[in-house]
Amino acid sequence: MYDAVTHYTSLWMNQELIDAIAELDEEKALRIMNQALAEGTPPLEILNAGQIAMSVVGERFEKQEYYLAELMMAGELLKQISDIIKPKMNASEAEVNPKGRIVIGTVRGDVHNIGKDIVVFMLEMNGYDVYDLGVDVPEEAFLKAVREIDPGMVCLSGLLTTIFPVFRSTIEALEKAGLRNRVKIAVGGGQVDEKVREYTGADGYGSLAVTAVTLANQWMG
Amino acid sequence: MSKNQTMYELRLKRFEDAIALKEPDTTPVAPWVDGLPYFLYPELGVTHKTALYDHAKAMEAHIRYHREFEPDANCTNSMFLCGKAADFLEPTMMDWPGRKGTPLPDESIYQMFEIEHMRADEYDELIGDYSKFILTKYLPRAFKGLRGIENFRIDPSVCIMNLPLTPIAAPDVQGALTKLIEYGRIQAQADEVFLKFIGGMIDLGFPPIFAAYGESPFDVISDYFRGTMGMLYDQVERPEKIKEACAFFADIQIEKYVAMKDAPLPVRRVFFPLHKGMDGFISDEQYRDLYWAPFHRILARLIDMGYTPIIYTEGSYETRCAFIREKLLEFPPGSCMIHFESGDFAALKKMFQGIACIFGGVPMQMLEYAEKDKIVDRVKYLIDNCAAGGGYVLDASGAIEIAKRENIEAMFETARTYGKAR
Repeated sequence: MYDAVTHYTSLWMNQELIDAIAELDEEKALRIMNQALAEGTPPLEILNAGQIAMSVVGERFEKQEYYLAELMMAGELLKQISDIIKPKMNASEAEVNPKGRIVIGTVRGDVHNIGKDIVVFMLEMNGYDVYDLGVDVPEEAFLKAVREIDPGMVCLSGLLTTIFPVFRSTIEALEKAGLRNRVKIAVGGGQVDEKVREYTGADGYGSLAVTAVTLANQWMG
Repeated sequence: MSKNQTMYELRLKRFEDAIALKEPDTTPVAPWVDGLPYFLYPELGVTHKTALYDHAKAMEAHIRYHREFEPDANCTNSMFLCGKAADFLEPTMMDWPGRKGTPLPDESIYQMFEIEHMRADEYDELIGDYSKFILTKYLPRAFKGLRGIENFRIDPSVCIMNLPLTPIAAPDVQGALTKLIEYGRIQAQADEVFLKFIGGMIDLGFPPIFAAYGESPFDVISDYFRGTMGMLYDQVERPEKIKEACAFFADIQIEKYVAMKDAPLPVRRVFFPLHKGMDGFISDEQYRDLYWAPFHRILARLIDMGYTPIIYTEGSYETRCAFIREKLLEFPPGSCMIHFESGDFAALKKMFQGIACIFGGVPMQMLEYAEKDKIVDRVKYLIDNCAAGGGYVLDASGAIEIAKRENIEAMFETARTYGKAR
């Protein structure tokens, strides 16, 4: 039987939770979540509120009201909530359908990880299943990952201008192995631009982490 | 006066005029170079590994580059680190070509890792007792070779004769102290070679672009203490601690510069690469309060002592320009140089006209991949829009590693001919 009080309490609670996450108020968000669980709110509803909060955070980032720090904090908070909520969900509810699979790595000869890690984080927060191959990843490791994981997108990361030839050789290796047309490829790093994309033969490029999400949404969303 | 001395004076004046916002005889050309000379002269067999381990040999490549292209300043960026010293201390913050077991090729420049050498809850320890924190926590974390130093103590509970010093007798502490002494010896030898290089380049007619080096306090904490990720969390969770630590590091840095107030340096310029202030990384408010405010104090003190800070912004800085312009207006005109990696240089020139000398403008990617005529057009555009009245130095968007030889030739050639004819 429809219970208006429960319904509106739940909506109110969800909005409070959304606001708390979007305001990055960890203590308040966890308190509301626990209260909601105790009062029998379905876990999936709580998780959905978390996802809505993340889109609010995303909008604030685009409007430059929030910056990278706030984005990372909100993501961490949502992860905390998911870690508590998911064990309480039944198997079919907990089964999340990712928007797509993405393989990422910093290419051979480059051991920088920060830019790549931020991209991984953003892609995961946007619902993609990300396979991070780490740093100094040789061509063969990308080939193996594409064969085994069958991703929709491969992200090649690198900070140094000297590793652009490795972007290219990695893409050529995928081409030779007959895997090139199975995936969209993005090259990324602080010094990457359209000229670099053209030289490497990639489908897209980005010098900012959020561009990876834009490209993924274009290609797989 | 020898030809080299004459050229030295001419280049120095050209550069100083540009900084002072006076019309120089021609637009100064001073591209920062990392591995470019190694790339241009492969027959010398010099790589970044050579630059770290065989300084004298690497110098040959830089000397040849300067003789061939005759830049207006020695902007060598890759010649001042010592691989042998690093092998000895084993810094955890970076990897470098030549390190035993490194995956990096010899041609790669050193690469930085960002490791959390200070935990989020350790700001108070750092600020409260800097020496103790550095000695017993930072050094053993940041240098594998110094791990024993963490047990360094002076024990005040028994103070008879030498007894307070007995903790130093512990083998691990002795090992670390012995390493520090040996490191000092290796570094002193390397410094001698580096100074010889700078002196040798002066003798050849090329003034160094800067005489000292610093970082904004925010970057120091982010790059070497908390790491980018740690710092991003701190920006939300404990910005007041960042503020305290930045103020503290600014004081320490100012002390260093005050000590060199009357030092007989060939140029009075201090170089500051800015790492973590780029668009999107930090809010305008935090950029103002956490990033710029302590850095501004450093700039102010240096300018007061007659030094020119070289502010080298990295990454996109479009949203910061107006703010920086306002802040630089607090100094006398021509007090600073400011480099931009990207952006509309005609607009940047207008923005900083009568305030500061801007430099940069030739994208590195263009030097590596574009056709020669594109370089010619770009250099002409920069000279047309930025050179009038001084206040501009032609440079690439970053320190150059690889480029087409013909593009480097075109960049210098066009700047020399078009820059003078204007």
